[in-house]
Amino acid sequence: MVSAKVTRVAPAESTKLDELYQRHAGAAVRLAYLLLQDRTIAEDIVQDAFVRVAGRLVHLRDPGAFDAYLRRTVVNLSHSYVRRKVLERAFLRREMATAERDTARWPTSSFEDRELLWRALGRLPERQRAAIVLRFYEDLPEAQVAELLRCSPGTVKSRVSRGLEALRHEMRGEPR
Amino acid sequence: MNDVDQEVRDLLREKANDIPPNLDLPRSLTTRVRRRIALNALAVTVTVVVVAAGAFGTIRAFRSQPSETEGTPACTSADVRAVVSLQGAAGSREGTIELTNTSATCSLKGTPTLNLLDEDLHPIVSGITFVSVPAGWEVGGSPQPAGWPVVSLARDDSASVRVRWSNWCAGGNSTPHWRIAIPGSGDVDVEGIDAVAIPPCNGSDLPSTIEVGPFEPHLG
Repeated sequence: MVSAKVTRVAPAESTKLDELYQRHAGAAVRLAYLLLQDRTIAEDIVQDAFVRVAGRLVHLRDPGAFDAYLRRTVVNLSHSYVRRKVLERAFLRREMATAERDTARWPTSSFEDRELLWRALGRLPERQRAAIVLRFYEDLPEAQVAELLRCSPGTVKSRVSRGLEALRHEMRGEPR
Repeated sequence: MNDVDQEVRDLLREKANDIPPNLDLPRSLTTRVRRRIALNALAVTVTVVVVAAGAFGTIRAFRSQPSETEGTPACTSADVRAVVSLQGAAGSREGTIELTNTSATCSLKGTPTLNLLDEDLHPIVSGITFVSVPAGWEVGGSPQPAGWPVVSLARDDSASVRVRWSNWCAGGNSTPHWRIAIPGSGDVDVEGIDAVAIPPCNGSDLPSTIEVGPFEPHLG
């Protein structure tokens, strides 16, 4: 989770950059990976986010909140990435068809169960997935998730609830 | 209810563990960050320069205002005579108010305001919309007159103000009196309005509209 604090650094110094990256990049890539379910894209997104936030570090009102800025940028860039994917709908339709076939053979092991859940999570609408990841992985309160996703806490609550409901249906092999 | 919650939590942690906690800084990233910092600094510098230039230009424009009219005092209502001349044009009346300097050299600048008065010389304060319009030279595509927006008037010289009046429904067929306000001074009665045929009433629920342009050298 993105939680470590940093002191004010001179971003032009590569050693400081190195330190900053080592301290925050892993957690940020994990978050992006859970949001996008693709490690390579997650790493690219985090590098872009890091460039943006580190490039602005001297102007940040609170350099100690680097992790919060980085998290926000990762969430925003992930959202932009998903929106850019013009083939996403077609991809999702194909995946749904695969899932329907998959439900015919109910998993027999916990590993298969997990993979099904992972894929079902990936099929959730992007905002529902983001709300679930930020609530259950980052353990952020609803108000903070709402701020990150630019919506109300009530919307976060309903997105999480609907997302979980959808996952529950998928795991039971029921149509949504 | 909590079964899926917990499963999702476990799954997310398990999947997150696929990513090592510490990642090394890619070499290319240092260059990208430095480039970004340089671009940000450039953007800030450009913004500051543009804002400063704009502020400087505005201050200079304000300061230069007196110097443009230096030696030429602003005309007062006592210095000028105003005569309107309007012709019919597509349901409205269009023409100019000519302001002739009857005194020593003075100057006019800006867009005047017009006041309409009823037969008892009470201001008509409702049912009229005044609209600022560009100068005639701008509309006609002519070059900007020297010294504009200041119009310097020697004795007996005239300045013009474009006017277009439409939709007059108030007061039957009576023509209201017009007065033109000279900026920084008083009002001047506009002569000749009695001779103007009032514009037709196009809709009593709509306001009368009077378009007024800025002072400009006499439109021959």
